[in-house]
Amino acid sequence: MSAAAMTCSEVRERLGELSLGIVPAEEARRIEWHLQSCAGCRKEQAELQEGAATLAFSLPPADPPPSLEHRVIDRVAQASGRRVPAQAHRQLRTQVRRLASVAVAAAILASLSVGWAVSERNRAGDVQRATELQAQRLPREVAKLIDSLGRPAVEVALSPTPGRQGTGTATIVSVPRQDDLIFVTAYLVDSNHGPYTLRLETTTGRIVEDGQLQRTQSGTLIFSDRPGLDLSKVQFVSVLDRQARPVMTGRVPAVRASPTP
Amino acid sequence: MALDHEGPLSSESEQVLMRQLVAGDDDAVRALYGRFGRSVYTLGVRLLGSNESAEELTQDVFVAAWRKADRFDAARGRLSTWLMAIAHNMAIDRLRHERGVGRPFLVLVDEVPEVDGIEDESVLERELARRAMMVLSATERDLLSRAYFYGWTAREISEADGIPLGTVKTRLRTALIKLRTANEREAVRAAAEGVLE
Repeated sequence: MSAAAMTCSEVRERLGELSLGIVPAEEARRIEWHLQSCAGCRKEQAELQEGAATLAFSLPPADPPPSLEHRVIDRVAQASGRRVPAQAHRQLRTQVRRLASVAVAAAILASLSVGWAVSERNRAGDVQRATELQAQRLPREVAKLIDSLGRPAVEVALSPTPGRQGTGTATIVSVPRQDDLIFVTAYLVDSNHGPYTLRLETTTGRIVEDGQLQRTQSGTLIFSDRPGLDLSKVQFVSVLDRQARPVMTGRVPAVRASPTP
Repeated sequence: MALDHEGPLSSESEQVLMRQLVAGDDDAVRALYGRFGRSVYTLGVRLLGSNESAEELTQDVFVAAWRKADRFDAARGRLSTWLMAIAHNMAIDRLRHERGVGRPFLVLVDEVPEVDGIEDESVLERELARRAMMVLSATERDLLSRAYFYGWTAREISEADGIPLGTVKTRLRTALIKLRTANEREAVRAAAEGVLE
């Protein structure tokens, strides 16, 4: 048969076979192409398909295992980006922890190197540069990993309160039925009023987290993932100084990014 | 709208269910599976020949249904028909892919034990289908079975039976229409008798 568009007569001659699934794939595609623009052939196809479905329904029923329903629901949830495969979720959590530990390690190295001999300081400097490079690379890896989960992270911009200067971001990944993830980076021009704490508040005013931020060598304050948090209802993210005064605040966007199929 | 799986859905309800499925709603997936999971699984077991393959097929079919849900149009056909067409096509693709053959070569497993005591929609569908099948002649049943369950092409049937190709195509089409008409008539009768209420 030629590759030209099929006529109604050619299509109708093949519709019975198409409904029974015995038309070669290439030809089936050409018939489907015709059906998209031909209501008459489409109607006939629908009727023939009902006949074919009757064949399927006439089979003596088999008993699916009870667990299949849950697996089906889970697969659709994963495909729609509403649920993250456990393995990918674990990988993300490991990456976020690594990111945090590398950043903190850079800070410790910096403080240790202060009192060292010059030669030692040079060696420490190399290690420190390598560590910083890794610290720069890791956020990109984490971002890529979050993308690969098919569920966009929620980015919350943190703004300084009046009289403060600085910038910050909280990245939240809220995954139904699994631990949520949060990673916060904040930079304050005057960061001498620490220790600083992170406060997460829900729409009802409930505080779901009140943990301490860690300070890195470059002065950036970070907070990383703490398992067991439900962050799906968090509305306000704040950084508080040691007197519990907010120095940075951010509001979670009203409409969280919807999953992309 | 309730998404339980008691009784058949109206066209309107089917469309609503599919809209909810587009959103990936767990309850919509649960409702769809509750209605047709067993039928899809049954087709998988009978055609693919193993429980494992049938379970994988069932998962793939419902994911495919979610992906295509926005294209479902209740005005163009029943949800059960639409879903079983997806299941049958995917089973055939799977056989083609796994066996590397140019055409489907389906195996109907007759030894799968039948399950008693099921009360979901698949029982009603099966009862209607079983009654509808009875209007076909033995020759028509054999013809459709060879095509749908064993993947024989019209040409192969023509050569095996010594019948002109055009005649085989016409008989396949006629038998399908007959089956569909009988199924519809049985559904109307069952509704009138209160079986499907």
